[in-house]
Amino acid sequence: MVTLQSSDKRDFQVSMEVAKQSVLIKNLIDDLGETEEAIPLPNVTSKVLQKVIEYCEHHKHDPPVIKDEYDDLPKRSDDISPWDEQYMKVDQEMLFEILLASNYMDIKPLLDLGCKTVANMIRGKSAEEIRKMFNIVDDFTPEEKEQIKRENEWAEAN
Amino acid sequence: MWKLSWIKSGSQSDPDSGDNSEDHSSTYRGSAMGCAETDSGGAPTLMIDSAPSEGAPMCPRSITSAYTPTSPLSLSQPSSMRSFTKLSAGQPSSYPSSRLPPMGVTAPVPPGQGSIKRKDSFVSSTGRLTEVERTTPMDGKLDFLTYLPYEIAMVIVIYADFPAITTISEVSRSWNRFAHDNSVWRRLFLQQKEWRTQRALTTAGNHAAKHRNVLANSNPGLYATGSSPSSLLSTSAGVSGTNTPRIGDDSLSTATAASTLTDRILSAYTGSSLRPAINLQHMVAPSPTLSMISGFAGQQQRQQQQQLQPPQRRATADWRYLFQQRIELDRHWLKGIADIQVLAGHADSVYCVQYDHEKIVTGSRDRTIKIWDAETMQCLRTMTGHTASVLCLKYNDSALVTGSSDATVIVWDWETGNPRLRLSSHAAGVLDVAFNEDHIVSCSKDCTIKVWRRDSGKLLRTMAGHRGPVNAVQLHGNKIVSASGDSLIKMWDLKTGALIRTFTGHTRGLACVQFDGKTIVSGSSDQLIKVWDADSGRCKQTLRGHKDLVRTLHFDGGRRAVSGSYDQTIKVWDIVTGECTLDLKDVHTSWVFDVQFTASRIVSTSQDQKIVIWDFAKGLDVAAIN
Repeated sequence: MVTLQSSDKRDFQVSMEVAKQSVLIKNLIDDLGETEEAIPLPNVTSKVLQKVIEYCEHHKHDPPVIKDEYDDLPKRSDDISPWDEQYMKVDQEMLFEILLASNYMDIKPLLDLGCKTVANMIRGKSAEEIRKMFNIVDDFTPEEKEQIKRENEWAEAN
Repeated sequence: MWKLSWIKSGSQSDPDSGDNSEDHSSTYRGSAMGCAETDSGGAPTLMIDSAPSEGAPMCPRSITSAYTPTSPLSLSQPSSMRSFTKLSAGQPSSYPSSRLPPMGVTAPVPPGQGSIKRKDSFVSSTGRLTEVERTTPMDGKLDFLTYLPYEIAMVIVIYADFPAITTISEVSRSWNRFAHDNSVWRRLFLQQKEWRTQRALTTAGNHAAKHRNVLANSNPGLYATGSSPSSLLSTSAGVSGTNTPRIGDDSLSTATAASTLTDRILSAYTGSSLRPAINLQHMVAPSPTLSMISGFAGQQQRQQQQQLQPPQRRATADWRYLFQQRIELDRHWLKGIADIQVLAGHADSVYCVQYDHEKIVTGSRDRTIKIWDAETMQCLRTMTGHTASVLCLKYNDSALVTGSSDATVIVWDWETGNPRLRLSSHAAGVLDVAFNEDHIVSCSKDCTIKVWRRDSGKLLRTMAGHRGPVNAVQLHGNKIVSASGDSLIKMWDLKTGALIRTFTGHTRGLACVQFDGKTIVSGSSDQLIKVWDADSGRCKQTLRGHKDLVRTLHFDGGRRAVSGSYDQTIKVWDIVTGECTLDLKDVHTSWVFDVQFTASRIVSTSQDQKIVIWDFAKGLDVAAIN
């Protein structure tokens, strides 16, 4: 077992195979050997860490990702498994935190899942719908709008 | 143990970094710029000010004073930006607390100095969120692409894909920068599945172009016809061509800003007649195919003209531009915008064709095989050997194989242009051929399929099973797929000759079949085209539209298939939706016998003795991505 400690000093006991899905932790353990000490994760709150561990628990038997291949794969976001989709039904704040935590802890499949989830929120929507969804202010000048419209003409002709 | 203590020291620094909003903001931008900079120099357009104005909430939306709305968005790069980029490149250790390592890179801990530097390198997510909350109403909504580290936001944009990138550019200034990041467009381009498929075709063109230069150098007499200014150019092209790995040397000289390999490859494409492939690994030794072809001068002349009047040159790979050209090419296919050229020369029906970037090879009822220059459209050579109609042909760099109504198969020597092997055993006309490294497969009106050794021409086995003439045959791996007048498709094992599967569904005889290892596409006298799953035998799609026998098909594993029919039309299909996306008619005036397509062209042949080239790249700059 490995103990992970969140930024608010809560300890989480997880099995080695769960912990090692975080490449950050895996490298740490590989380098230093198993340790009794709690591994501090100063960038992750207990609320988020709990959620991240839930993901790692569920995916602990997944085959490891081969990094080079993975990076080269075309990015498809329509292949999310039902469990993952359910897992990602969280508010925007938690989604944001999961993205940051998975990046920091280097859990690539989870980071990817988060990216896919946001991409799916964006795709198929108009700019106005996107602004509304993420509470974004339209800060273009009319001239810029005109310029962007011209730049995008080629794509919209299709 | 020092690593552990480092992490702890990081945690101590937490409250500090959490409040330092200025630090965040500059970091943020540094990360964005750094990314664009390293990836072949695409300049992001909208410059977002990093230094927050006095008292303004930390929000990377304000625009630098250097930015002027009237200047083109994609060109403005305030000098403050450049200096910042330089700074961050020169001081990697202060790699802003952007801090979060780039995707897939575990934060490197510099030995010995790690503990101090790292202290700043992580931003507490709590701190970060606090910031966000200050600029966001309390409705639980977050501007992901603005507040996430740039590398993560970029992955989201890449997942959103085209055409969402267009909408993304219209959301806000902060979102707009992704649409001007060259690395975003590069990734978007490379992940388009169909484009990838098509790009494999460029390798053939590459060999050809290189080889042409080699030839030009070794046979200076051939281009002696060039006029004085151009002969100089052709010489230099010839010399550079002898050095095979060098691509587009002439345009390189103008591409001063090109630095990475990819840049250099792509910078070459506009200024040169060479067609660089994006993947260098595909580039192998040049083929000897052209050495048999005479009449080289016209080709050289054309090449010279291209060099004298180079199209617009670009110093670096502009992936957005390439993407745009490729999209435009797709649009030409949908709308039927094509230049039509007709090759006349055969004295009778043209039964078969295969082509690449360099040449077009045709076989005719006039018993000859002709080789045409794919650029000048001149007939370079006429080959004789069959004593009756040439019904089918296949070639690659190492061999040309033809079948004829004289019941023989000829394996031609590319070097001499003479028959090397003649395979005689069929009792009637040879209707189709296929080959790989070791084997040749032929099918015949005598209802059999035969497998031959390619090196010796020895007959290995005969497969009988069809009850009608076998009109078409395909070979992929160890599987042979055949289509017969008995209305059946059969799959056979190349090595044993065993029948693997029979595909039933067509109600009349089959004329053509294509097989890519997974999918079979077939055309029949029942006027239908069927798409089959090769493993299950299930018919996945039926394409309706032809009004007579579907005589010929080409399919190369993508979504697109092109068919030719006795109804005199050529149709382009999306085999996934089953939709006919383009109908080409009123050009051939009789039965269409054969058809092949590449990313930018269709070549078709007909009983009307014409070879028609439909070029969809009209007005486009697609040499590098074709």
